[in-house]
Amino acid sequence: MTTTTRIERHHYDVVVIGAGGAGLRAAIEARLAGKKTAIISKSLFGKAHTVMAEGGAAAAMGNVNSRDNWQVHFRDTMRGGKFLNNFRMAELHAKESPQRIWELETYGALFDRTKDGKISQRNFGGHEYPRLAHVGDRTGLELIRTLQQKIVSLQQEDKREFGSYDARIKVFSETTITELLLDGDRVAGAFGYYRESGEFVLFEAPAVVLATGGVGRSYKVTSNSWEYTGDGHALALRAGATLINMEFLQFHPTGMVWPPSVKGILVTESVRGDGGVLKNSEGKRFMFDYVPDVFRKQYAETEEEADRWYTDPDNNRRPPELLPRDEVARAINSEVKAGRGSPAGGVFLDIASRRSADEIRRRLPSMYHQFKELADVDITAEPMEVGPTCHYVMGGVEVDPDSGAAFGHVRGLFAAGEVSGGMHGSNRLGGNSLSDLLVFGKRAGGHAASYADGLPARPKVAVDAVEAAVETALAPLQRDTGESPYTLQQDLQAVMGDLVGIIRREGELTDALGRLAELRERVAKVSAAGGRRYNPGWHLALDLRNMLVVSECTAKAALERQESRGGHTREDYPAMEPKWRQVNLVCALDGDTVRLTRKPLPKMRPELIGLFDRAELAKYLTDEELADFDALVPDAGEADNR
Amino acid sequence: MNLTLRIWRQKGPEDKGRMVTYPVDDVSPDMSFLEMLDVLNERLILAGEDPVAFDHDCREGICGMCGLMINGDAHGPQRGTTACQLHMRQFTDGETIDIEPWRASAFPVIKDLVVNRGAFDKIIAAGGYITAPTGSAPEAHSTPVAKANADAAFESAACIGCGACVAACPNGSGMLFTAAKLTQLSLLPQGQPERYTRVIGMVDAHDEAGFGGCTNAGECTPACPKGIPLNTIGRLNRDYLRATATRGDTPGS
Repeated sequence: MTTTTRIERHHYDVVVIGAGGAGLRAAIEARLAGKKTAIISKSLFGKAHTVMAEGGAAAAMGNVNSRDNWQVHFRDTMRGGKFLNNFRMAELHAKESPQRIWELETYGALFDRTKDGKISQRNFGGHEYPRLAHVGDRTGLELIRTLQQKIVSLQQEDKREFGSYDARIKVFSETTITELLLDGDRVAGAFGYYRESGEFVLFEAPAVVLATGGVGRSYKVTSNSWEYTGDGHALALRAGATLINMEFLQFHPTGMVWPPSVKGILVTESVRGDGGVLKNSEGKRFMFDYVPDVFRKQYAETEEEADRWYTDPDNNRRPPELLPRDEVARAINSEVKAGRGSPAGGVFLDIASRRSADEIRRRLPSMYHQFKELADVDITAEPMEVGPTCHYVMGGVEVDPDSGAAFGHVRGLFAAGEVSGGMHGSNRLGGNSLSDLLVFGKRAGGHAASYADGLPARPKVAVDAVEAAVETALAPLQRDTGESPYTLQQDLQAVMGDLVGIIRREGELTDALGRLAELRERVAKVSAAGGRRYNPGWHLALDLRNMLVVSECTAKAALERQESRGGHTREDYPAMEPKWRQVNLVCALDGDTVRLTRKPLPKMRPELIGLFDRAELAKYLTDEELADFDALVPDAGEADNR
Repeated sequence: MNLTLRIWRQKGPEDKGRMVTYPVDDVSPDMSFLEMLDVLNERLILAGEDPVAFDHDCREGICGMCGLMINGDAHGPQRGTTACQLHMRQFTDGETIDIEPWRASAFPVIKDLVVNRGAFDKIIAAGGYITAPTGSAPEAHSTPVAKANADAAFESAACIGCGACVAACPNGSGMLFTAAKLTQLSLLPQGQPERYTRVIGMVDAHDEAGFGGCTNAGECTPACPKGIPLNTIGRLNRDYLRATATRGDTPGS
């Protein structure tokens, strides 16, 4: 059969899978290093979820409040991640994000300015100072546009030098990668298909950067669109890499809950940053009841103090609506469960009664438009109905913090952005993802290039591996007895949404694992009707195995972690346990089975842990760790690091 | 709602094309225009007919993919809205709606309502970026950008490249698009080194790609889903005049 299958072949030095912020930044870096680089985009070029990021990119430039610096950003990131972050990634991120933002300006990016012409920065949940560089509420769009145009400008250079735009950097849009091909333990290439024609394509390349984004499509209510099926996570697992922190999923607290056709679409946190408040059906501003002890010092206790903060942040504490996302999502969940929800099963987000109509339209133009158009709600006159929606996966490919190289037994594989794990710990702060993409996209692209340079010989793609990939890809089309991929996807989404959702329980997680095992049998026999030309049913059938294995990782890790932390809440273990902070849960594939192991977290360097108050650390660390801390930083008890 | 749709059907670039009438019943006023077309297509597929091809992607008004002439208006009757965010509540029960592709010689029809907007890419490739080294990252940071300029650039940056301006223009001109892409950069310090070569390059690419000339008809701005103002073209013209004057040739020649 395979001898008659036509396969288009390409040779590249670096193949970047994913064309969002991380992928484009990685590709630019690899191309700047002189490598012949391919960018593979599952959908149309430029339509990654990066463009949906509305809030901004967090970078401690200190333009609006000069007290901000990388140390404060690092502290906020670690706090937000409940100290489970890979400290080195959080450190690199805090140190390098201002440079990455400024660099975008040299590429022609535009950011909102302060009165004196500096990049303006806005407040956002979990960030101590105004820190998010933004372009109105379409920062991600501007970021992608800038990176795309940088690529166009590099292509003009190549046209002049080599006579072809595509000589050293080429975009393959609407192309899905189904397998990574190995030569021993080294990456040798990537195999996939063009969505439109269904024709196969093989990229031979010694280095692959995964930048495929998240896994949200495994959930019923999600802000992620059809592309986000955990492809990079699954490719990495199958290539021998490991995933960490897969139990941590971020449910964005404010997704639209009505009307049904737009369920899941995000309502940006800037609505709250700009004065919007959350109310239950009794009209109560309920977030004051949900400030956890670890945050009590930083958040206002009365509405009066909270309201003063918007104009005088130095002398007042923040409103509790700006607590990290996981806290807000859980609070909304509790209100709805207690019967104080809105008619469509969310709560009310009210900015209409707090800001003038003009101001709302000027500061939140996209939100005004989105509600007017999609829900026929005028947010300058009435509150929005919002509720939690699956938004972001903190877990991902376990990587070396400095290079983005995947751990496990595979060489030549790199990951950046949402598909990588560790940076955000158990919960990501808003605004930290756009900067994450730029910082680690650049690093992964650069290190992939130098890895390719350092190879004595190019790894070779084995013929039988290609044949196997072809066979796996064609299998759903050749079966006509299996179930429809759409049924299977719905069943998978129901298992994950109902049993591995925001609030988790041991019995339900065990049940979920049983159902996922059944689904695995069914997915192995999935059939897709029709041919290879633009066949979304076939595409979904191939995505399903990725969604399934990633869901298994999430369910297994969620069952194992007997505590609640960040994006993982166990009703049966509601407290955060210092003992569990020392543990990363690592998933690997053993044949077809997901194997879960515990791995100790890397220890923070003394000068970094010294940035925190002892009193704060006491909430996160074990007694032994605290004793170590006291030995390292003898007078930390009195030191004021703030 | 019950509607009658008259849709442009064209099998391929070479086909002559014609309007075909389709009745569509049970349309909910809460559907978006594209969802309504999805419903029609589902029925066509079930009936064994070829579904209507139309471009769409994000359905959130961000990607710039959708582009339909609806009753002769680019993106339909509602101002400041892409077709994907246009809702059926804007129409009345029993209405007949004409749906056509963008019509401009620079945008040849590929199939039905899908046109090739690659001509826009050629304009961008001729200068819609920064190549001249404009300093290191910290230098970018230490160069202030006047708030007023940033705000004006912001207006231009809103362009999603959908092509409604071209479709609305009686000359099929892409000048609003070109002006938006150009002035966004010409208002920023980083855009200065290439400011005048850029304007000549992009306007030349615009003309070569088969777009018509701008005669200030002003149809583009009302059709623009992002409301990019007409004076953006004025900014382009000012730069173009200066660039050609410095070069010593006759403007527009």
